[in-house]
Amino acid sequence: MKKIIVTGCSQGIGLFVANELTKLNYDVYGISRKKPKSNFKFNFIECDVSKSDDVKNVFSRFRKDKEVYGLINVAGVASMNLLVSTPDETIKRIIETNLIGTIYCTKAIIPPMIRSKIGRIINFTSIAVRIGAKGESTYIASKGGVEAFSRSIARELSPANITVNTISPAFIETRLSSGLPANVKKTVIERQIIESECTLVDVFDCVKIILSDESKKITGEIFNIGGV
Amino acid sequence: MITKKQISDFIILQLNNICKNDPQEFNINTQLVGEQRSIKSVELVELLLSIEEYAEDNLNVKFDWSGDSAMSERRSILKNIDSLSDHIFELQNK
Repeated sequence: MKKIIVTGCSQGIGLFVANELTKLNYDVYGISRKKPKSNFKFNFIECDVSKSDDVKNVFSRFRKDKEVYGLINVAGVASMNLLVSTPDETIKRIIETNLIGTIYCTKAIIPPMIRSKIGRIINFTSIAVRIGAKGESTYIASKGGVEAFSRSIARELSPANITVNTISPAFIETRLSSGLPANVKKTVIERQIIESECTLVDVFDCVKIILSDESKKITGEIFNIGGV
Repeated sequence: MITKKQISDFIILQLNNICKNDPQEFNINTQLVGEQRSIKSVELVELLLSIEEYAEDNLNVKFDWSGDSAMSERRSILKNIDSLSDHIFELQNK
């Protein structure tokens, strides 16, 4: 049974994706700092992706496992604020979770994927990167970093048949976006090609496409759900 | 105790296996990193993973190959098969 690891599984996109993948007969491992409050059907592992030792410890169980097929890096935090009034600790937390956490988990999943010579890594970015939205500069910097990282590591891993792609959902109602003022939501949606909110199902449909056998040559791409 | 020659033989055997689709002659001077390297980076990673297992199973030592100079042509223990064998051999004595 193919194994897929999903980070940020305690809520939102991560929780939905991890639960849906179990219905497709994947052996799913959801990792996050906190256990999901709602029902879940996957194997839960507590882990803070921003902590190197935590990630090493959790992923060590997969190091020689040839069943590992996918890593989906969803874990992320955000904070709406002007940069000048954002505490340094918050800046650090956003970069460490969104960007460094993605890098740590990707690094840790490479050994089993190289052994089995197949793999799918899916990272998450945001439409905010393309819009350059005000009040999200650190968040955008972290997600811009994820995009650049994904393109580079895709090239590094391509000889082992490991693909790395990034999903950029259109505006979606999650805890992360709940703090956005109504006018900002409206502006974001107006910048999309499909001017409507994205759903968790839309995101999962994209995940399924990337995980499919037919996507074996698709790598280093950013999938803008809803278009931008 | 495993000899350095046994370690380099193991490395060469692994390389022959990893590069079976692109066969070539490997010897202790075969470069593993840098401009003159004989193998692709992904093949090097595959090799290092197999050495990691070999070191654990046969020498009872941990082979940690991460380091800032890992890919340095001049300073890396991965410079060639000889330097890599040396490093693994030395691990036994630590």
